[in-house]
Amino acid sequence: MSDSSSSFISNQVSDISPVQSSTTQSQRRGSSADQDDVILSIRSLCKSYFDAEILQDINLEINSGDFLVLVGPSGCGKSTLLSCIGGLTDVTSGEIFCRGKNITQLDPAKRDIAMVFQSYALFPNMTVAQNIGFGLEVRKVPAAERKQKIQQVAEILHLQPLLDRTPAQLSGGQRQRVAMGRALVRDPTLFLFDEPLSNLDAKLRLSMRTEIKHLHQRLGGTMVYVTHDQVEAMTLASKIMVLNQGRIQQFGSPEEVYKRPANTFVAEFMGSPAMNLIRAKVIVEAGAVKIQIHREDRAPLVFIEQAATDALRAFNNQSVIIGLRPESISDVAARDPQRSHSAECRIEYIEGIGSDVYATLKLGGSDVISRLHGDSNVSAGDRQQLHFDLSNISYFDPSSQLRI
Amino acid sequence: MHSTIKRPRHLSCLLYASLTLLAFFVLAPVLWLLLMSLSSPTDLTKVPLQWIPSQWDFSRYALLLDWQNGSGKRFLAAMLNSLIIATSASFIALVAGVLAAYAFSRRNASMLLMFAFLATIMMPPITYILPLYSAFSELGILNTKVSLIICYSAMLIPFAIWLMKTNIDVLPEEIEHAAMIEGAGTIYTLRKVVLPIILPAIGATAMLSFLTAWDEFFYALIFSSDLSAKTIPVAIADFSAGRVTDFGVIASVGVLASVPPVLIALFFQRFIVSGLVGGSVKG
Ligand SMILES: Nc1ncnc2c1ncn2[C@@H]1O[C@H](COP(=O)(O)OP(=O)(O)OP(=O)(O)O)[C@@H](O)[C@H]1O
Ligand SMILES: [Mg+2]
Repeated sequence: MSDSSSSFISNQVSDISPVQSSTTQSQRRGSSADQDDVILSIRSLCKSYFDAEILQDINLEINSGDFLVLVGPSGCGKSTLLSCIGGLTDVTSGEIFCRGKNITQLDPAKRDIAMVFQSYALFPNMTVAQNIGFGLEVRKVPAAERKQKIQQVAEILHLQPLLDRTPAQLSGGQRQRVAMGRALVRDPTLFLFDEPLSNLDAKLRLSMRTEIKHLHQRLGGTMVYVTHDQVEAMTLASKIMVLNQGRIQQFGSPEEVYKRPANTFVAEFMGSPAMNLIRAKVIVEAGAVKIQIHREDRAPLVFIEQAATDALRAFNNQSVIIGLRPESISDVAARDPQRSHSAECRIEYIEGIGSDVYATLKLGGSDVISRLHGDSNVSAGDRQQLHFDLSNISYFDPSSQLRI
Repeated sequence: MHSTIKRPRHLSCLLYASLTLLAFFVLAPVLWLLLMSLSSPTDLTKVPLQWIPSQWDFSRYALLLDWQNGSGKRFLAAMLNSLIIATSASFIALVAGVLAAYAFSRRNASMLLMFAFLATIMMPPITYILPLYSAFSELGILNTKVSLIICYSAMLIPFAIWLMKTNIDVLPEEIEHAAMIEGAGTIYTLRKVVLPIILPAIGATAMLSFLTAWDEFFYALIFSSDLSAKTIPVAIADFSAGRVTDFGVIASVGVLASVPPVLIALFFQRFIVSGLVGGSVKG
C-alpha cells in the first residue's frame, strides 16, 4: 500500500499546475500508460425522473488520488450524481467508467465504492461497531482483524465510548460519524461523501476536516465529496465541480474556480461573501482599454485594464459585468501597485465580523461589498479611500453570463 | 407510556366503566365455555341453569388428552393435523410473502401481478371448491395434509405479500442502498438488514396467518374425511354433530383447541413492538 500511495500523492501534486484542464486531460487520454490512472470517468451522463431532467450531459474524469468536491445549490443534483456513480439509481443515458471498466450497469455491490449517505442510512438493528464493520463482515474479514479496524476508525472519529449503542441512542452528529466510519473502515477504489460533516459542531467539523485531509493524503484514496461549506470545498479539493440545475458550470482546481470563475453563477456561488458583480462600460481609447463604472453620487470610476484581452477589446462601447472579490476592494494597498486603482468611495453601511469589516458601497447601481481591515474605524456615510486590486478581476458577457 | 395531561375525574370513571363493560363482553363467553367444560352433565341440563358448578369435573380433559380412547384419539389427531397444517402453511406464506413483497416493493415487479394475487382473495372460497376437488382427486392427494397446506398457503400468500409490502414500502430505501454499497447481495441484505427491521411485521403476519389457518373450516370439511387430515374445527363440528351428547365435552374441546392460538399470540406479542427503525436516517 505504502509505495502505491506515495505515487498517488506525487500524481496529485502534478495535477495542481495552474494551467490544467483541457490540455493536460487530452494528453492523458492519449497516452495509454496513464489510462489506468483514471479512476472515474463519466461520459454524457443524463438522468431524468419522468420529464424532469435532473442531470444533463455530465462529463468528468478524475484520477487516482484526486479529491473532487461537488458544490451547487440545494436540489441541483449532487446526491443524484453520487447515486448514479454508486449504482443506486439507473442512469437515463451516458456511461460511467471505473478504472477503465464500464460499470454503468454493474451491481452496486460489485463496484468497490464506499459511500456516506446524506441521510446517514445506518442499520438500525445493529450496534455502532456492527454498523462500521458491516462491509468487512460481508467480505468475510476475520473477526480479530475486523475488531482492530473498527477500533482504529472509532478512535479517529471519537466513537470509542459509543461502539455498543444502537443508532437510535445516538445524537445526529454521532450518527453522522458512524456513517463516516462505515466508509473509512474499508479501502475501496472510490469514496463518495454526501455532506458528511453537515451535522457536526464547528470544532468537531474542523478536526474531522483535518482528519479527512490527512486520511486522504496518507491513504491516497480517490474521493468525491459533496459539501455546502465553502471552506471545506476550498481546503479539501484537488478539483471542484460546480453544478447548477443539473449542468456542470465549471470543473477545475479550487484556485481556478475561485479566481477565474467560468460564468456569473460560479462567481456568485463560490466564496463568502460572494464575488461582487458590477455593471461597467468598456471604452477603447488610443489602444488603452478603459473600464468605466457608473456612480450615482460622483463622477464615474474609471480605471485602465492593462492586461486586456482581444475578447475584452471587442466589447468596445458596450457594457460588461466585472467581477471583483470583496478582498480585492480594501483599505489596505494592493500587492501589485501596477494592477491597482485607488478611489474615494462613500460607505453605505458596515458589518464587522471581528477579523474583518465588510463595508458596502454603491457601484454601477448595485451593492458592492469591500473587505476592510478588522481595525478599520469607518462608519456608515463616511468617505473612505479604497484600493481596487485588479490582478484577479473577471469580466463577464452580460448576455451570455460567460467569462470573457 | 405516561400521560402528562391529567384527565378529569368523571372522565376517568367513564373510561374505566366502558373498559369493564368491554372486557365483560369479550370474556364472558370464554368464561362460560370454561365453566361448562368443568361442570357435571347434570348441572348443565338443570333448569334453571346452574351457573357455578356444584362440583368441579375434570374427567373430560382426562378423556380428551388420552390417546388410548376413541374421543381422545380423534381430538389429539385433529390437534396434531391442525398444528402441522397451520404451521407449514404459515411458514410457506411468510417465506413467499416476504420475497414477493420485496420484489414488488423494491425490484419493480409488475403491480398487475400483485393485483392478480389480491384478486384471488376477493373471490368466495366456494368458487374454488370444485376445481380444487377434482385437481386434488386427480393428484390423489384428497384427504391428506398436503392438500390443505396447498390450499391454505394459497389463501395466505396474497395477504402476507400485501402486509409485508406495506411494511417494506415505508422503510427508507437508503438503508438497503447502504448495504449494497457495502458489498452485500440481495439475500444477505434481506437476511441481515431488512428482515431484522421488519421483524415486528413478520411476527404479526405469522400470527394472523397461523390463526386464519387454524380456524379455517370450509376447505378442511370438504377435503378431509378421516383422522389423517381432519383439522380441529372439523373435529369440533364432529363432536357436536350428535356423536356426543355431553355439552361439557364439546366445551372442553373448544377450550383445548384455543390453547395453541393463545400461546402463539403470547409468543409473537414480544416481536410486535414498534420503533425498530429509530435512528437510522436523518430527521
Ligand atoms: N426519486 C425522485 N423522483 C423525482 N425527482 C427526484 C427524485 N430524487 C430526486 N429528485 C429531484 O432531483 C433533484 C436533485 O436532487 P438531489 O437530491 O440530487 O439534490 P442535491 O443537489 O443533493 O440537493 P441538496 O444539496 O439539498 O442535498 C431535486 O430537484 C429533486 O426534487
Ligand atoms: Mg443531496
